[in-house]
Amino acid sequence: MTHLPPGGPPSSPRPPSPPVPPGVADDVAGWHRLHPLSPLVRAGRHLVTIGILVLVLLFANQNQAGGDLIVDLVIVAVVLAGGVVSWLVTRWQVADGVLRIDTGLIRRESRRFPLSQVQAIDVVQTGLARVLGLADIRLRMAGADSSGGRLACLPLADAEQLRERLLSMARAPGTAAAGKPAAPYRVASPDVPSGPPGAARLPERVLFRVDSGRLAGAITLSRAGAFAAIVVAAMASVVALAGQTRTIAPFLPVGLGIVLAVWRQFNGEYGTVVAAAPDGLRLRSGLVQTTAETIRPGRVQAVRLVEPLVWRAFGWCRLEVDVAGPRQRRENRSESQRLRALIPVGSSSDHRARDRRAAGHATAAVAAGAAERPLEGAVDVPLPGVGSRRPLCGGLVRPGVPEDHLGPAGEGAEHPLGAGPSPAPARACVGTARRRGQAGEREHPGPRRRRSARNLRIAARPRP
Amino acid sequence: MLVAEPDPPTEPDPVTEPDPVTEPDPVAEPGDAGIRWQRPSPRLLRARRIQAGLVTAPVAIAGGLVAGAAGSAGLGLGIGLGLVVAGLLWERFLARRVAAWGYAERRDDLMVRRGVMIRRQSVIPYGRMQFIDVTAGPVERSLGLATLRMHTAAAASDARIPGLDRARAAKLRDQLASLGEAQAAGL
Repeated sequence: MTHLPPGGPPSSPRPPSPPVPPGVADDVAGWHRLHPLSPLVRAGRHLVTIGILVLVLLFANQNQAGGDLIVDLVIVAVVLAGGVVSWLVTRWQVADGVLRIDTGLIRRESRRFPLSQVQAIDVVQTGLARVLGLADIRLRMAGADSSGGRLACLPLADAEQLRERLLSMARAPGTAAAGKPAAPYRVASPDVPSGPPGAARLPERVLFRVDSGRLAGAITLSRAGAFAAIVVAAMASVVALAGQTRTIAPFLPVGLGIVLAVWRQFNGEYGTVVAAAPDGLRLRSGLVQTTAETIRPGRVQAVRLVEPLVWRAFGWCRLEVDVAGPRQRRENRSESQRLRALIPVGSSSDHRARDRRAAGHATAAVAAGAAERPLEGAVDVPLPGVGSRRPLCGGLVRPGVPEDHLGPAGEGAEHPLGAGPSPAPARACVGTARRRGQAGEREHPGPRRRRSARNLRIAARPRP
Repeated sequence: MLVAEPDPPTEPDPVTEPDPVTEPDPVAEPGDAGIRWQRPSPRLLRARRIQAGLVTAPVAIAGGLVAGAAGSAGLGLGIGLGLVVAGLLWERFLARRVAAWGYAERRDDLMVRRGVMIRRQSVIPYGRMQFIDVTAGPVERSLGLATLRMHTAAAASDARIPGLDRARAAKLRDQLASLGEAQAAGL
């Protein structure tokens, strides 16, 4: 009796618990369990950490590693047992537009996530999960202190299907009940007006990809990368001068941590692809751990262009997208809450125009998402100032600019969207970029200049 | 009848157990006349007392032992007893605080009221609710209670209703979830 979840049906306290039927996403109304291998995946991070620790200990001092190994094995066993218990008591269900998750053994928790309030849905695959073909689903809600729902893990195909289902369910009741239809992103092919539930793959339009070489360069030239490079160089020179590795052994964990932080950033941002799809803005990235985020239309709170001092020489900048949710610590930011993506803006004069347009596309598309506007009018906005030495004072989209100023003519051949129907009147234009001090409207602050990094922040205007 | 967990030795056992439901509203404001406040279950007080006892007993024993080891045995005994008295005083505050909890379901919003010295009333429109969870810790579960919590996008609005009867909590949760779904205001 005590293990009965607070919301459980009184007649059947335990779900029938089939171990994840084949088509989970087809029948989401019943109670489901997570995949039986999920404890292993959830413990995976600890396993890897402990493995590295053991290796370091073996490398540093061979004599007393045995006792530590036993302690580590005990820790692994405890973590795994905890994972199994957590798997046993966790179940989920989608019904009436609400995702329900019941979990917890000692402290029972029963959570309800109304799908109309979902900000974004992520499908995250850690390295181990990719080997096993599993994936996490994370629901990002705007709750101020708790990060929302997480289903870890499901089979990848089921996870992707479920994401599509959840997104379509999120769209349907919200538009019906709220009375104001959230304009979805419109994409190139007009014959697929909106994704029918269960559609295998919604059409999407790739806005840009990040070149991995440029990403590596950008990280190396960032603060963390430079710091790591200096530390590694210092260690290498000490080893070279002293001639023995023992002198740097105490500093090895520190160095390893710094290098790992840089690696995590590279791993997280590798191969970033930003695409617009009918159900939202999609960001895919990751080398070992892959993340596929889908931000629902109209859920982007602000867009920020950051140009650190060193990057400016190469014409690079970073685009950050703010989604409502709990504030996260800096190190976790790239993982979930604050999405950041690197927009490549080329340095050579040949590529500059094209790349600047790419940056403009992405920014404007993201900003259009922020303003719940269809994409067509916004895609071809050039970004004055980005990639050049001029200060960012031109303005991305000025409030009150007529629609035909937004999309330059003649781009239709290059971008099939240009030939689409004329977009709806701008309900919310997305920002002024004036110098600070001149910004009249507080709703959309202009560029913020810092000493080293230039910042342009574009906030969605409050809806009328 | 539910049987409470065995009380720890220094559990500040209640002398009188006032029934907060039948008592007149202790924190009624003149403007509240039209609002029908609902109260948490009376078992919430018992849950809070158990929790207070579970904290007081180890603290008193540990404090007494430490003081006894550092000073004299009399000092240890005095400090232990002092901590027990502090726990008993805490229990008096708990009773008033439990009595002050209240919530009211209205057409468009939920009102939650709490606090004795600092009274706080939150009004949460259903449409602003981001998600809801119901938690039940071990003590609460042994008494058949649960805590309902609504999450909004604002950090300060702590909309929490403790000590709901479990069936009532489940019903209220589903009701709120569907109301929030129907009136969703987005963000």
